[in-house]
Amino acid sequence: MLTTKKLTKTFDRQSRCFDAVHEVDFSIKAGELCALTGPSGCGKSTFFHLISGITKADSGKILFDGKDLCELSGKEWTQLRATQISYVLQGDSLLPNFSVLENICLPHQLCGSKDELEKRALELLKEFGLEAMAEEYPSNLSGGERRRVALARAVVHEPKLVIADEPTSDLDEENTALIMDHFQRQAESGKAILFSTHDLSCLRPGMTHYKMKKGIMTRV
Amino acid sequence: MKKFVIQAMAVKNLTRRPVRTWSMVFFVFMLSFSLMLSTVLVDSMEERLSKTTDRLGADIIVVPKEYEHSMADSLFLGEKCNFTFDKKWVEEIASLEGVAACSPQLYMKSLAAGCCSAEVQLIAFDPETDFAITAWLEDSNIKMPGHGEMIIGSSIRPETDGEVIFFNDHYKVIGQLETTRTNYDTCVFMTYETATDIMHSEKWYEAFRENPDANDLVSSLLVRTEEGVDAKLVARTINFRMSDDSPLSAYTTNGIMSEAIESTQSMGNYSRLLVVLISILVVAALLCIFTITINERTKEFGILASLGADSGKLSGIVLTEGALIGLIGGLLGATIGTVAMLIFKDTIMTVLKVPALNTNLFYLLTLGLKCMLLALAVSIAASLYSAWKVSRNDLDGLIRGEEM
Repeated sequence: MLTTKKLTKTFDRQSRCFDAVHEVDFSIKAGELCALTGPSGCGKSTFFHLISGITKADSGKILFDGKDLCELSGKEWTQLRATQISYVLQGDSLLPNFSVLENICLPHQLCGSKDELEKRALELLKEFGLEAMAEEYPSNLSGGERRRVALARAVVHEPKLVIADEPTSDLDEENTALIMDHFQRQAESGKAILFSTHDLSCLRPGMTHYKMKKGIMTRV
Repeated sequence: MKKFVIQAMAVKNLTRRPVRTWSMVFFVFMLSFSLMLSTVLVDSMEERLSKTTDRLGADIIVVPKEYEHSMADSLFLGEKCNFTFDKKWVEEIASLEGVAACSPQLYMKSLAAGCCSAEVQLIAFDPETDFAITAWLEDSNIKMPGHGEMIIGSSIRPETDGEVIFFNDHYKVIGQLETTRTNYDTCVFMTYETATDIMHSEKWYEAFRENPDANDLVSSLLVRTEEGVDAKLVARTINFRMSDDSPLSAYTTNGIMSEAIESTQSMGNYSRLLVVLISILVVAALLCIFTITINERTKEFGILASLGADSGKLSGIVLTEGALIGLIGGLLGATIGTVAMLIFKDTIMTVLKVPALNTNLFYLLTLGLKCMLLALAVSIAASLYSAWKVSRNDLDGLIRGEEM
């Protein structure tokens, strides 16, 4: 589904150039659950930003369903994020002025997705055990609940690929397990799931595991 | 639903930040309200000025020396006057070169006592020579008043239908003039014959200790010049070519009202300047609030962008918020302005010492709509910069929450 070839991103920090992502070859298929581990600052988030079109690569290729994404215009990237590649930001990524249900549905409706998202959103909230929280505001939710709402938002419009940047950081074992179970179910339903983590206990049998260190990615 | 997502999100953002929202609405309200109030004041003054000079129908007005201010105040502010000069001067002025017609008027004040229906300005005219009041009567289909008959202005409300009392004598009202929103709405008109009766009444003597003959007195002489003749030149002729002991001063209609015209013009200029300054202040205040809050909301826009919202949608949210603030503030300003004008008309006129306030509902509603549109434009203009910044900022920076 998504393949990168020699993907490189160079940053200039204090007049010194360094590759945050260095010639990364990566591949993920539909129905695959893939974990990316590595220390902080190793380039995981930059890699995610590159493959979701948030940051432009300096060299290399990103192929999505055979199409070279590096050729896409900003508008086409936006359209792709709205429909096929869903990106869950690191940390708290809920909109504070909107209820849980609105947080899941309104951004997608803003991007032109269909109106009947609400039914699917309520199903997802039930799956996450948050059905009673639909009208609550993010400030009334715990950290684990907020992450689950963010994940529900990432999958409600049925994207092909879900990219989640450290979705389990700062979560207890119970919440981490809930999220990993959800990922497993989403992968089983045919979606490609790519997530980053520091927590090696998240790794499960059958998962693809990549490691990243100083911008260089290796498959474990 | 899809169509209204931007609006729904903007409304939600505004309602969830009530203090910020109402502060911004207050700024816009101030603009709309002050624009409404100052425009009504200036428009009313200008309208009264132009209607008064138009209604007068004369090119030149001759009054006793040193009474020109009283005359102007009577015409513009509606202050009652009763100065006079000898009628012998009328013939001398009528014979001057360039004078086509002249007609005397006599001003009397009624008393605020039981002997009179109301304290009003009584104006006597000569139907033989008159070219001003006769024209109004024709326009209103009212016949020329005869001996003992009177015509009343639109604001006069007689206690008994068809009758008014002045200095204990009853006079028949044969017609009421249409509203002009000038001083003439509060005046009572009659011929010199009737004025003579009033001045010869016992009550008049009791009040003023004299019974002069109205036919010998003139308060102002309205002069119409011959076609093509410069009214200023004729006025100058009246002032300088008449005998040295002439107690009169002649002014062109605009000349006698010059102070009122100047005050109205400067009031209009101050008002326009004030509105411009308030607009700048409101734009600056809204711009600051928008910029500060947009910077606080960078992450929020980053989240939306990461979910696939394009820059147009993001700036659309900011612009819609600006438009809603403008609409609410503008509507509140225009509505409260209109209601205040209707309810507190008399108080405003007394406190601000203005002779007239146009409270015609259609005029107020049209003006209110204009004020609302200006408030809307100002608010949208203030949000444009933030909208532009949101749309121009790179996605990476938005997601990281970097200051725009």
